[in-house]
Amino acid sequence: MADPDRIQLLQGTLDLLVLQTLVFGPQHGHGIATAIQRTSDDVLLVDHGSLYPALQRLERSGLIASDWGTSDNNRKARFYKLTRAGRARLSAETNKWQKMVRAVSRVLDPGRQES
Amino acid sequence: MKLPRWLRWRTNQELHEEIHAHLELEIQANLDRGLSPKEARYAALRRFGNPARVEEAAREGDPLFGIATFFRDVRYGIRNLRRNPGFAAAAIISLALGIGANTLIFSVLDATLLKPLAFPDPDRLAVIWTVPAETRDQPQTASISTYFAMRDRSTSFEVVGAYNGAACGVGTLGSEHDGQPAERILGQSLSPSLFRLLGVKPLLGRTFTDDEDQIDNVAPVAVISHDMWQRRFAGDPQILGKTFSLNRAKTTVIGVMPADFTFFGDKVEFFLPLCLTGTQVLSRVGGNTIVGRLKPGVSIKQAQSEIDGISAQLAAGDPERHQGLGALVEPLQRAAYRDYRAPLVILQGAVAFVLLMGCANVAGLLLARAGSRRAEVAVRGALGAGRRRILRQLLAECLPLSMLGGLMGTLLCWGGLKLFLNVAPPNFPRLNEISLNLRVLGFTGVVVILTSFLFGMVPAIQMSKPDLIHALKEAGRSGLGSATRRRLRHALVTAQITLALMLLIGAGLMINSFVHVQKQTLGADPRNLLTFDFHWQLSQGAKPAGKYHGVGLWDVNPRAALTFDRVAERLRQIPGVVSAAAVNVPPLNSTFPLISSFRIEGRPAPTPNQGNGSRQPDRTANYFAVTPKFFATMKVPLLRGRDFNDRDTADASPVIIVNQTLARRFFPDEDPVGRHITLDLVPNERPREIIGIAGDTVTARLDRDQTPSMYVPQLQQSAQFSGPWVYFRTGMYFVVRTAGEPESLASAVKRAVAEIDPETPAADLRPLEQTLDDQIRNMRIYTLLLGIFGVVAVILAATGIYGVMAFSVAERTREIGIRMALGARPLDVLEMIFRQAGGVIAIGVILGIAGAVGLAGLVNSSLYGVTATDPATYAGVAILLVLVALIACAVPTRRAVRVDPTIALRYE
Repeated sequence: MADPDRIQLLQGTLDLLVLQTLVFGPQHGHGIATAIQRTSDDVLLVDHGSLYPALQRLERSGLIASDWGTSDNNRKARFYKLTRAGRARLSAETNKWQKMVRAVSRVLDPGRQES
Repeated sequence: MKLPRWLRWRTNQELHEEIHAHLELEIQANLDRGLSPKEARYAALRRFGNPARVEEAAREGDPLFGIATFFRDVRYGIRNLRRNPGFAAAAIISLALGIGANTLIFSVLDATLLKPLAFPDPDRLAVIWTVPAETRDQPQTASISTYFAMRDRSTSFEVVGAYNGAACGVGTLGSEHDGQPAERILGQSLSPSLFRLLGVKPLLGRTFTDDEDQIDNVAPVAVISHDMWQRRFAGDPQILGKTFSLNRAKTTVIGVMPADFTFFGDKVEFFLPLCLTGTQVLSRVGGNTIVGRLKPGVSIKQAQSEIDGISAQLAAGDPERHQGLGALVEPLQRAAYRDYRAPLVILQGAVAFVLLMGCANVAGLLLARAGSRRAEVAVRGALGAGRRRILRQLLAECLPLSMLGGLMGTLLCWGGLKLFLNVAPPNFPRLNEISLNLRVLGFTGVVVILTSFLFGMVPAIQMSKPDLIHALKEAGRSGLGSATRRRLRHALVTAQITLALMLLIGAGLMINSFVHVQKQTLGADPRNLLTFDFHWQLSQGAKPAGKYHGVGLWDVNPRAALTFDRVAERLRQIPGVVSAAAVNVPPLNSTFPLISSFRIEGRPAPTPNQGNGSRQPDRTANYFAVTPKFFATMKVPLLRGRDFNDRDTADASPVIIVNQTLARRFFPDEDPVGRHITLDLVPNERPREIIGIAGDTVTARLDRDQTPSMYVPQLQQSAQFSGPWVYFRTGMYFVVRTAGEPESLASAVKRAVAEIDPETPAADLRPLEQTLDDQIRNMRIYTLLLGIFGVVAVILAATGIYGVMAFSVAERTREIGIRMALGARPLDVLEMIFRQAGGVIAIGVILGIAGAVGLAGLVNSSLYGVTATDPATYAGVAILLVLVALIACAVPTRRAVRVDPTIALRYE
């Protein structure tokens, strides 16, 4: 059984990562998963399964849109792209995230001066 | 074209395909990394997680998907029911009985107490009652002076009006002039403002104007009911302006009311302006129901505080008429159906209990099945279903049960309603409006959904508890079962016994009262008695003559009493009549008897106003005026002395007969015969010699105590009479004892009366037994219904206990087998199981009795002859229920101990 705490912890972050990945153009689910993994230098291991509920959620709230298309190796796949609302949300969330990271690191490491 | 966002949901198939595509891509990537095909697939699946669970999670927030899942669960529930027809039948019947009973009572309650009156803005209509300061819970009608004060001084009301059915609401219609025999009809007299206030308009013509209601000069005009228009005037379209004889006066029809105006009951056929006389205006006596229409935005509470002020002013400024009287403002609807409120609320409470018991039954059955479904639920959990999902599924599965129960219950109610309408007394309010309408069905729908939560919740929470490993281990093997589950089942049985006992005690008390009322010694023999009401017009029989004790005084026409004597004499000559007599109030049925205080000659007069502390018993008694042979005709025994006879005329020395209670209470140590008493009902009473003692009779059927009574010869009543009671001097209620069927003499009696007085009809001609029966008709229905619900409760409790015990025993079959293999005798096993069941039953009985005592206050006012804590009823009902419970336990237990231990040990 899935651990509910983990899902909750991931929720906001995963959404943000998905949106960021889609900035570079439409992508299908598998592509998003591998992109996150690759760009994060394999630090962030995305549980592929948990990606789909996130995609559904984002689409329902109008942040991304989707359509069927063909993947690089000629397979049928569903491609997701950012909507205008999604872009706006991404920049807002990114700001928020960076603020939080800065604040948290100041607390954790008060000696270090901010550059 | 893009669909709106809320419609853009993926079909099952699409998401499935997408996930499939994802896995393919991952497998391809893995292959590219050099993994073997098999490893590539496994790695992809590991990476992805459980596809089914992902699909489900992805749909979690989708409303349409939620509905689809819901229907799937319901369908699953229906399949489940089909697989267990026995369980389904037991559960559905339990629910149907509860839901049906609730729907039935609610439909009656809705039509009478809840549905607003059919007037515009009915919630602004209110009644202003007069209430004596010491008994504020007994609202009374108001005097004319109170009405005038409320009408003229209150500012809370837009309009204030009044009606008075007693004043001139009984009319004699027709006479020799229009060729039809005189007949008695019912009417209402009301202030001209009343129609306006209620917001009703006539079908034809107009209603009264204010100048048609002048004191001592009331216009001879009438508005007639639609019924009377059709019946008496054959729907004559030219009816307006025509005259007819009403109370021997030429009366002009000025309007016809629509057919649906039945606020005063559908027997009321005419309406007159409030017949105001100077005497009445001066009187303290009530009789007038004051109705007001509140100004918009004014609450009952605000009106009440204003009216309280006016009452206080009246009491201070006019103590003779208003001292000790307050006022109570009550919504018209509540006031109109006051008598039906308590019984209907009791019944609704009773059926709520029945429904709760039905729910407990089903919950018990579900819990019993929980054991066998535990494995299934555990597997679902193992496959990734969350607790909430399982809970939702289990609850959704309950819905088909309660829906089928609701459907069957509605059918039951439909049948029950037909039955109810057949046996309901014709004067039951708004009988024709009671139906299975949308409001009632809506109520049923809400009940259905609530019940499925009620009985589904406990087992569902129990079953969805995530103790996976334990459940899986236990699956397929019925070991000892979880102790929690057993405790829960026992709690349900306890609750059922508690509810059943409370309901049964209520029903038992009502049945006891009913039996008491039925068995009540009337003190007379009502069989073969024909009664009728013979009344002169007030104007014909009496003339106003001042005041006495603050109420009007009347000179009585001495010819009246002589006529009554002649009518009685003529009746005795009819072949088939054994004897005939008359009495001034309805025999055995005087809800408002005349009461007079009296003085015993040779004893000091009781000093009035002795303060509240040590007051002597009031020297008052019911006052009856009778013709000779009254006691013989009624078969009331004369215990001492003699009956009145023809020599006890107005000129003879005045005599009186008292009843046993009066003799016992006021002459405890002496013989009253020969003593003299003086009445204080009217001025100029002379001392009367007591010449006999009659047996006690009931004054009215539902009276609780025996009251002192006295009888005077009607010819010897004083020439004057006071107050509205003069009505009892201008007419008599005749009783005719017949040799055969009383009704067979009806027409002969009518002809005989017409011979003596063609202008006055023999009204309400009917057997006395029928009248007595009508008095307890409502009570009979309430008792019948409560009895039926009681029986249903016993059946539900018995099946509930049986079900739970059968399951408990079956669960312990192995254990019993081991015990018996080790040498326990059947008796030991029996004892073990009964000890366990006995505890559960005992707790239920104790709680039930405690609950019944707690609710005793609610039913007290509906009881006769028993107290709400009658020990005999409590004990009898408790023993009955315990017996039923023990039998319900004994059947499965007997089966268990009979089983061969070797079979029991192998039992699975």
